[in-house]
Amino acid sequence: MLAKLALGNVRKSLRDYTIYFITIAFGVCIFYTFNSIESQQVMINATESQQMALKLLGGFMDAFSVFISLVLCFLIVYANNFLIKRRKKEFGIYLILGMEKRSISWILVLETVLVGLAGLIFGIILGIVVSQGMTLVTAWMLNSEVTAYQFVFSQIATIKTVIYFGLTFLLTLIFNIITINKQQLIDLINSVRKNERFTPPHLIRSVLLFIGALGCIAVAYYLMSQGTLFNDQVISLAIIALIVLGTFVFFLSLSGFFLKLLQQCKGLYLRNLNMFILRQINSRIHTNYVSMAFVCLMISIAIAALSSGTAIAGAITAEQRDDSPFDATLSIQRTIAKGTDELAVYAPLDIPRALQSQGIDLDSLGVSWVALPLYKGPAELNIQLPDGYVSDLVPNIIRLSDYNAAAALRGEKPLTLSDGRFVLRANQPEGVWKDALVKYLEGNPTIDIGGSRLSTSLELFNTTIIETLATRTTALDVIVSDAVVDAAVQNGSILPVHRTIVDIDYGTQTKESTVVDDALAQLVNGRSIVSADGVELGFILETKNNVMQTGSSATTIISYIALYLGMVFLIAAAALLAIAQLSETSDNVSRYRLLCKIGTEERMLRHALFCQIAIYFGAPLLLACAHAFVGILALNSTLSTMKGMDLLGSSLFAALVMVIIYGGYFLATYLGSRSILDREAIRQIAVD
Amino acid sequence: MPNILQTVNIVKYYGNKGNITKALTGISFDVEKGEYIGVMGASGSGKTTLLNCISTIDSVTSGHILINGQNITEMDRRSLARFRREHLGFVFQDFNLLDTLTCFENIALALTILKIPPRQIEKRVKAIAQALNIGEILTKYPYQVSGGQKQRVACARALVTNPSLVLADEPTGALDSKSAGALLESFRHLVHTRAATILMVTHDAFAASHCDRILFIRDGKLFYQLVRATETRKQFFDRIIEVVALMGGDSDDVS
Repeated sequence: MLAKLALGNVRKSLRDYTIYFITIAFGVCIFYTFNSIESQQVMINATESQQMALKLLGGFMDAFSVFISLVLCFLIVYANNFLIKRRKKEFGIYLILGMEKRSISWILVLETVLVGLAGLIFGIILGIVVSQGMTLVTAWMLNSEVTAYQFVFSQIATIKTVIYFGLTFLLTLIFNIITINKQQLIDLINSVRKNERFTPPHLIRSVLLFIGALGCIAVAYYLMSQGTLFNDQVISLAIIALIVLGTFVFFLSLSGFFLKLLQQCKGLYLRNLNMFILRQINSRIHTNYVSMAFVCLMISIAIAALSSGTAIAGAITAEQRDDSPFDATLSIQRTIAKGTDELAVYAPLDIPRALQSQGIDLDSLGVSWVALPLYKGPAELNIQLPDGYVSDLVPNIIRLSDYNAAAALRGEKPLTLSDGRFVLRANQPEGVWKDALVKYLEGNPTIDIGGSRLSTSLELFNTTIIETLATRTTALDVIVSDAVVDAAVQNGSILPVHRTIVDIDYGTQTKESTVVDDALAQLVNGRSIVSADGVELGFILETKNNVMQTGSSATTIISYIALYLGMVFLIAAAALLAIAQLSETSDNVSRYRLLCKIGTEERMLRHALFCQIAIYFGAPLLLACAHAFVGILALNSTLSTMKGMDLLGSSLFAALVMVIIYGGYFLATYLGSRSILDREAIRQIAVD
Repeated sequence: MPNILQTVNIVKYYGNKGNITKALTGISFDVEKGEYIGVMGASGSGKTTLLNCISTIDSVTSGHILINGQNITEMDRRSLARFRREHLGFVFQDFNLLDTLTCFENIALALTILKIPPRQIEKRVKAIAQALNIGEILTKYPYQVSGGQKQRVACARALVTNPSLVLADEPTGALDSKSAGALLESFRHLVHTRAATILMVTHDAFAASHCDRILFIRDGKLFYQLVRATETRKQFFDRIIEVVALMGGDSDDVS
């Protein structure tokens, strides 16, 4: 009997349950998809390091899923509470008819289980479908190929989804039962009337609060634009506090402010239903401002996550490409403890001969290679950067001819250097570090090497990367003419070579680069060169493939986490608004009915409804866009040591996700509300 | 005087084939321009149905209703809404003011949906408020004023558009007798100065005694008609009571 009632209720309030159901299904789908990433690797032809990356990603997803499930749990409990509140009268009638509270709780249990189970099953099915496509994306992002297509069903993800959402539904149930048991019959019966209590707005206070809110937000924006967001914890907390406070007060006072503003221009205020719309929003602002502020903050996080996540990922990929100008780089480095007599331990290292002596024949691999010795500069060569930057940087010294040989290997034009000049080279095409060097060079500095005074200027600044690097270092090099180096070595004013890099180009074998990588690794593996003072120096091999893979793994992890967080927050925000607006439309049916009675055009009514919902969805979105924009700019300036992030592209991507999810919920809300308006007001004018 | 309202044999059935409620079973009457007409009947007699049909918010099963010569029974939903906002004014028993709007805005609403230029709206609202003696409460919200004042605001909203016909459904039902009397006097006054036509549904003989003519409805039919001639209101009231007693005295109602 109770089951029949519950089933009937669900069917009857299908409209109320639609958004609730969609939200559960979406949440489950996303949850399953991202948690199934680890299982997707069966389809991907992943290298060992990529498998590691996938495992790492799986771990991240585990950690984030706990947080995500809390967000979804909150959302589902909230949505459920809304449905319960709207049905108080129905429960009151059950009680009057003599039903026990326990039975009503049972009806609720059955209903929750019914809808939850349906949402769960539907969501997992959707998730399985989506995760198939996701595998292709993962493979693409990892620069890897999909082996043979294989249907992937992740048992772990399914079990996890069921457990997390099962717990959520359990929590919902407990909340429902508490709500029902707390209620007094009289309140349930009168709940409809009780909802419509009206408190008049204090418009002047709203205007003042609104100005205060804008002030808070402006101060926070100013602090963020100063690039202090990530540097100082106290200031970071202050910024966050100001943004949160500003956002809450903003929505508390927004409608009052605009009401006051529009009342001043009667032409607009007294046109069509404008004053009705504004009053309508204003009258419910006390119940709605908290949810609007939450929604705004959630969308801010979502936009920031979506756009900066993809931007950072893009930047990593771009940087990785720049950082691997050669197919491979073999390097040997001699590091010594401070205080040792450097001149004594460094013996000139002739790499080609050393390689030969070890029986390492690079030519046998059919590759072209160039050895680039780096001389260690003396401490006096210390480059004095402007205040506020690290200043004990002793550059390496590179012969012009060696540099040009490497440039020729890359297919670039040789560098020419007039007498008495030198070139400063750094691994930093952009960023704070580069700015410091530019400032230094603007002073047209001079250095002394081996008795010659050399000068340079900004035009000579060189940011070409001369080796394949795993991470971009802050190393500085000074390129000088061969004659100067030779003289300096002879008179002992510079230290000998302490690091040699061997840049390797695979030439025609680029296609089989991984084969050459392996051959190269095998060639140098376990080999070493003994320095003059008897220290064994091992080879360090960095290949382009390796650098790119590390980059793509990082890219994949960052992108997925951003996507995961962004989408869940977006869905949570949009669903929150949708549920609140649908129930508000139902609450306002009697007002719309009155407007119909006195002959308001249907078009005008629908327009009013549209405006209301558009304002409820639009206002948090606009403020969130502003928050996210300033936040991303701050993030950008902090992380700008990376090569310029593609903010436009990633913002477009964020906008697309936004339009699909948020726009979809907006449309669903408007259509749902319009059908309530049509059904219960326009076609039912006579009912009181 | 030309007829502003003409009803021809209105029939209204509710329900479906198996279960029919006959609310109106053939009512015909005419109302002249400037008349103040009352409709009386016990609850369930069909008077509210009649009002809903005339006010175009409910449709008749058969018969015709002509307002200002326009046959409203043949209009579609959109034209009906247009007709309502251009030709009719409504006053409801429970005022039906929007609690979120001030009194001024409640009255102005009737004009904004007619797309009257905003510049004229303020002038017209102030004028009607003056006439109904509610000029001082315009900036207040409905919950801040008394029931009588609320109903005056509702009257102002109904009259500010200069409708051909004002339909009032138990306008004094929620008022105390003093406010009711004052409101009905205002109504009377408006009929004379603005040549407004008012059709008022009531079951209160005291309220009805302010009318020029009273239609008595019972069981969906016109039962009796009472026209006020030269007698005083008290005398008219006594006659109304007699008819009410006659209607109520019927054995049908007792059993």
